[in-house]
Amino acid sequence: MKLERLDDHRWRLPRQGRMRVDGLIFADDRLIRDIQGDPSVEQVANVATLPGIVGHSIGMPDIHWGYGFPIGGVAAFDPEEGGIISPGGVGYDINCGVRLHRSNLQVEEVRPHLARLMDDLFQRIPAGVGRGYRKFVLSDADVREVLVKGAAWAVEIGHGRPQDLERIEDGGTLAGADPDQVSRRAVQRGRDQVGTVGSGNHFIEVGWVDQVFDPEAAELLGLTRGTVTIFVHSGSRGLGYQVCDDALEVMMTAVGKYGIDLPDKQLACVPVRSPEGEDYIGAMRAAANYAFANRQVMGHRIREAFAAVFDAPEETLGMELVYDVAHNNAKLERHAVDGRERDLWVHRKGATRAFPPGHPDLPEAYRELGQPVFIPGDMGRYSFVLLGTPGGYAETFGSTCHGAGRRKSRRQSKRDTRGRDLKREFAEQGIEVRASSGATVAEEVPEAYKDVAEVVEVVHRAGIGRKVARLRPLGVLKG
Amino acid sequence: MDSSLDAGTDGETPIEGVEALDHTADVGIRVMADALPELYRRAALGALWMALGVPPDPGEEVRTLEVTAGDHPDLMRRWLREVLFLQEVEGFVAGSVDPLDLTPGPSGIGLVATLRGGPSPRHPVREIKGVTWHGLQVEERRPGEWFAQVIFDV
Repeated sequence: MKLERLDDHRWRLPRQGRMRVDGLIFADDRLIRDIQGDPSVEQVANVATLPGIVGHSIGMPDIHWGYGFPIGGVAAFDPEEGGIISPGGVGYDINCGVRLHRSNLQVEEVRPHLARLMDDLFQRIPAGVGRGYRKFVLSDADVREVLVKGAAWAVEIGHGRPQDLERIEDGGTLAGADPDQVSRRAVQRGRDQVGTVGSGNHFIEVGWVDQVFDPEAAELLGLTRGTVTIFVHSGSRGLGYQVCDDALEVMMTAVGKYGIDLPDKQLACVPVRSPEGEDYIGAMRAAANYAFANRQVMGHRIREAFAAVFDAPEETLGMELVYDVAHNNAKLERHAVDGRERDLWVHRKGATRAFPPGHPDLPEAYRELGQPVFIPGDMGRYSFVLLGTPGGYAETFGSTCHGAGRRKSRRQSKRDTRGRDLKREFAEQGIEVRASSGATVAEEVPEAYKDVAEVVEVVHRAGIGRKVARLRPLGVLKG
Repeated sequence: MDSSLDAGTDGETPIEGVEALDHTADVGIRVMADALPELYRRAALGALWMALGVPPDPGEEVRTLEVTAGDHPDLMRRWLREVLFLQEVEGFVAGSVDPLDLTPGPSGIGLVATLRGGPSPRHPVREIKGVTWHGLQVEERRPGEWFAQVIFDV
């Protein structure tokens, strides 16, 4: 499909065939060649055919092909125009997201204790797959509470500080969650996974601020150079995956009932204003709350680990939550389209909300600054902290990228690392790795990923995110 | 940290008729068999291979699974979903599947299978989020040559 270059960082996919709107892909000349190497552009076009889509079908610079919707895709649908809701536009891992804690510790204070710190984290926070790692087995009633209250449930049971909640997207609780729409099977899968990292590309990373691009913003976020930080990347675990699976099954059948003709079966969707749509929204919000609770529990355990290793109260160590933000969800948000304010269902699949300064949904502390956004890289190089911008709000429904994307398959990655002592290689770079599976580490090595700095640079130059700081890894915990 | 890597790389196929697929972000299997029930049996073992990193071991515990779907691709998806659910939630890994019967009916195709297995001595190496419809194929390419392809979201 032919793309038109709009400027150094924007490409237009003109409306054609059954597309209802243009596609808009953010990329530089180098990244666009990568993007055109897989069916992502075709998927952007396919999303543009869905009923009720407004604005553009958007692709972020880290876009790559997914199931139906591309990963790194953003699309908004107007219920007044028959707009749809689609589980594929959210992803299996509902509310997969990232939180960042900062500490009062400097990198040179942590290095001598790093091995012990990573050992402690590895003991406290279940990572990986399989039985025997479960430390929190919830009753049905508990699960229900988690699904309704989200991160607030965790704080209520003593896992975190009340002030954490204002530093989480939507206060860590999505209203309108309906636990009755979450299947028994989903509850079974999620009953013992609260407070667990998972596997694959999920992680906990102790790092430090090695470069500051915006000193004033970095100071306000508590991220001055040398500050030790902690990332948590995880989502709704098996419960969320099952909610998506259950909904896809329903919608694969229901789509025909509404006369929706799909170019790709995996775009299965229904009108927002339909029984099936409302059921999915209730379940999706419940699963999102589970993910908020999951990351909140892990945040609490991270504080415990630091307090134990540094033999100091966690408050002395700081350990504040900077922010917690999702990169897989669908939210009802008000945006201006063609000069008119509209309530839209914004689907972000592998894309992060990035609200600008002044947005009323931001906590007081960030109202003037803009919303923090975290873009994790791979386990060996760097990650970035950005802020939302007015430009992004206008062009991308307040969205930006979420990561780097893989450049090698998992099998290729394992083949290329066969025989290497990866733990030693990382240690030689000053990075302590703890993982329940060597295979996961082999699949997740830095060379398996694209360079996130390229993606972030495009976002920054295009004005849909503003660079604040770069973080480097000290210790990585993988499943 | 367990530093061993998955079996099945570099072209090895530890399960007869099953090979791992190269996919950038996820994992998948291609399965070949000379009969449809055998295709389903091998696909189940292949799915567990993807989750465990090694082929599943035989065991003494017995479970029965029944699945119904409108067509073979959907049946395959549902079948593997059930096999993986037993592994993930109940810790039951099917080391063998026999017998496995397929019965066409008015509401679709029914599958009934007896699985023998038990707890796996190995921790799974990856978490399978879902059995996707992406590239999902179940077809008879030539008489007596059945083929399936399944991609798993990890």
